Amino acid sequence: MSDGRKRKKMGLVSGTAVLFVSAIGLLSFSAIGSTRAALTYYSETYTAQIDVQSIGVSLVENGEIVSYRDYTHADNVWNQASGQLLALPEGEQWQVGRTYPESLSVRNSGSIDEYVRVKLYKYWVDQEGRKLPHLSPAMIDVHLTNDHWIVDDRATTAKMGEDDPRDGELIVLYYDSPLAAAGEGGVFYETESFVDSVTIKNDVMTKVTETCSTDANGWTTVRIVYDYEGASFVVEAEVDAVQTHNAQSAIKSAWGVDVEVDANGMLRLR
Amino acid sequence: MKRTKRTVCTAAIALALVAGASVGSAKAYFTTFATARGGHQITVAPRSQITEQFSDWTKHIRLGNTGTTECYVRVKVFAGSAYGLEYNGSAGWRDGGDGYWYYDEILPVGGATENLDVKITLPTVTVPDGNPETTPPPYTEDFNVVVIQECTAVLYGEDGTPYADWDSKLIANEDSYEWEGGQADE
Repeated sequence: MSDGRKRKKMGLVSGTAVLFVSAIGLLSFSAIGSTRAALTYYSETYTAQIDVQSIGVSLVENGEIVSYRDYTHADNVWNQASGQLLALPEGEQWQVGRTYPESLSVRNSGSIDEYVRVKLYKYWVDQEGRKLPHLSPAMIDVHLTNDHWIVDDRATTAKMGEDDPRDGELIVLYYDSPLAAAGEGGVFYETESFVDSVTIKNDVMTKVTETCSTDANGWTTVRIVYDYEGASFVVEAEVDAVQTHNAQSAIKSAWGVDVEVDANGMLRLR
Repeated sequence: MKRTKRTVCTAAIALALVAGASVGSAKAYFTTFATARGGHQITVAPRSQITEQFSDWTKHIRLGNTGTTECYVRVKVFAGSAYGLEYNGSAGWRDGGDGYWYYDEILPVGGATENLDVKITLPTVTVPDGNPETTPPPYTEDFNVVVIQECTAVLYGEDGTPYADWDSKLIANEDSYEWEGGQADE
């Protein structure tokens, strides 16, 4: 083996060794990072006995909490419950065409400030609860207030105006301000309502499917079936909350959307 | 070449591990959620059925709601031009002036209207002595008096005020179809 080849081989070996050592070094730093994170975590848990930081959010219907999910550090548990929207008095039937007041808002039921968004679904189901995708969600008029709530037009699939050709079931809304944690004396803060009424449009009364058949004797039978007969409408609200600290990254990580937050904490979709 | 590949692989694995460690820290944000849902079944196809009794040359008409939703009803009666019809509605019935008599109250599921009496006036005939007079009984001619009954769904204004829209037209959706030569459904 010539000296030149030996030097070349030595060079390769030393290059590999350097890269290997670098890899070990990076991994070590990674491990140290995790260790530091773990230590930080336990330290925060310890100090939490003095300064409890728990996230929580509640969906409020007509002034009453209907659903919530709150974390409590003291017990290290999630307190949660999910109720029913649009309840009617016993024996009363939903009347088509009538506008029912339905105020939906979000309350910060945790102890840290948070940003919130709402995903509203509206759709039709049959008696077994199976979705009926051929029935129009646009017939379920969930009236938005647009008061401090930003519609995410890219994520929304529902019809948002007379000329809007979409007819999906989803509306995505972002509250444009941070929702403060409960103040002194246990005063909870709520957003403005994002919905103020629900109406099933009278148009459902006129939508039919017509079939004709002619028998061997030449008699024609016309059969008309009401499309919405016996169908049930469903309105579903999902409230998401995320911390305000490091908001842009937190929102990107939790919700997968890019936002801008100004110096006053006002949120804007990119 | 093999060594170069091994070096590149080692570096790639190291980078992947470091990147993985970063992903772990990215998950550590405080988040939560709450959900609720609700809805109701609707019924949109009203049905009604007519019940008739006949006595003293009078039809006693009553309509019943046989569907699963409340409705409004109306009635129209046809007879030959030689036969007179005299309506005598009970409470709730109103002459709409368009040939129909309307029952103004909402007919609940399983409910029925009050009677709408329609007296039939028989034609006058000329008796053998030449004096016209009302046909004496027994009247033996065949004739028809046809009663048509219609119902429509109760609609509500935004404030919850109920009303009937007798002019609404059904709109067949784009999936409606027809064929010829097939077996009738019923």
